Amino acid sequence: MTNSNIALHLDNVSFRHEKGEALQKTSLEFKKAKNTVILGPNGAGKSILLKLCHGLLQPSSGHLFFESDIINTCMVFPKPVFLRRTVLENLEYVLEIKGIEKKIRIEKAKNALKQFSMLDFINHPARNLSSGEKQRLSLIRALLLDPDILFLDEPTSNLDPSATGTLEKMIKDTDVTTIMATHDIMQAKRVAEYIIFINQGKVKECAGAATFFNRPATEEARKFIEGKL
Amino acid sequence: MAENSNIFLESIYLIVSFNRDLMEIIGMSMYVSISALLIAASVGLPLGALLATRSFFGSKVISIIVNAFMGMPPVVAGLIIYMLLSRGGPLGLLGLLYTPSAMIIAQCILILPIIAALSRQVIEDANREYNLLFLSLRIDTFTRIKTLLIECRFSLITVLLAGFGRAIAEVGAVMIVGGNIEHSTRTMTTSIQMEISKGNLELAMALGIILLFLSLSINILMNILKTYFQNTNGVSRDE
Repeated sequence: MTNSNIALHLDNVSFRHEKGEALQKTSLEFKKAKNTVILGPNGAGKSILLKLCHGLLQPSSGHLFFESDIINTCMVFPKPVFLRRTVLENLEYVLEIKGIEKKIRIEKAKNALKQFSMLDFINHPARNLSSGEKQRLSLIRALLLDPDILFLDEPTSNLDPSATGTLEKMIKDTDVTTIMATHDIMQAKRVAEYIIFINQGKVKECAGAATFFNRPATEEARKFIEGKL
Repeated sequence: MAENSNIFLESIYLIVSFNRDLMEIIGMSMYVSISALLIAASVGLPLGALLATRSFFGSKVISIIVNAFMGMPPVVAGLIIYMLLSRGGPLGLLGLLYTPSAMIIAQCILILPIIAALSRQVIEDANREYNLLFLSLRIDTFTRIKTLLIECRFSLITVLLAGFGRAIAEVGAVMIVGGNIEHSTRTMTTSIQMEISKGNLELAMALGIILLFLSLSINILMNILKTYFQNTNGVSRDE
């Protein structure tokens, strides 16, 4: 167990793909128990940064390391994927992968659905849910795994304002350290405690949300906030 | 015309009276084709899943061979197995030629590529769809394949039924390696061919009706399964 307030360190991390360098020599620290938002325009490298952090991509250079007490990370994607099974069975599946016995699986899944007001959907085919319900279920599925860090890649990009509000409330209410990528400035204002501003594969600014929005340190950040970038 | 009607009526009588010879032939056909299907499925499904989920040395070559063998002429398969199982062949000592086992091997070789290739396609599509979920959950290849086989179970049943359809309707290879021996290796298709040449059209017609009935049943079953699957497991609104 460590007392460090930092959950994840990135040391000169770069990521290169066929189109060029998507992330350039990035050094960052993500704090624990903070709703951190990675903010930036489309194509800035937000999703790549999240995927690198979650281990779905490997850095071309540099190092990325978690604090020793960070064991489990989960990720929610813009378009969640569900097995061709019921809501309950989908939740059970991820618990089964983690080796949890059936009785406890069902109990945990039911409790989670109840907590997030989705118990009525328990026997519905998951793929027949609406986009908002699917994304809520996706978040429940991730939270069921008790992650130390939860990565959220534009989780509300396909949702209407009402579903977006519900999901944001779920994100804000959770005790888990969340790191969310979004290009939505208003959403970042509503959710973020800490902002990492990224543009063209480079981290331009890291600041508390109030500081970032009131006194942006870089010209690019100011332009982005004003909708001019 | 009247003669044809008589033949048809007599063939129906053979079926409804459960004619012993007819039942024996149907039983042999079913035994051979179901056995071939079970063996081909136990190899073909995991092979298809492996080719769909893993890229390993030789996997592309295996895929090409499997695809190419889908269209292998049955008589060629029959000839190869005949040469392998005949007394002078490398497996001649087993004494399998002109036995139901030889016919099972022949049908197996014919339907194995079909099952492997079609299941590879089905599983590959599903694997692409679920890839981020699997990566995110960090599951191993075995669990991934197991999940995909379960997820695609209804499509895979359709694949198996297609394999069974090919096996039960096969005539060239089983004739070569089975020999169409009465009370031993006579199947519906080989029997139809022989009865027509003998002019015994009633039995040939009865067997033809049974084969058509089986084909129809397989198609109805496929449709029932598809509907059941869509109703109980849901189809994404994005699909």
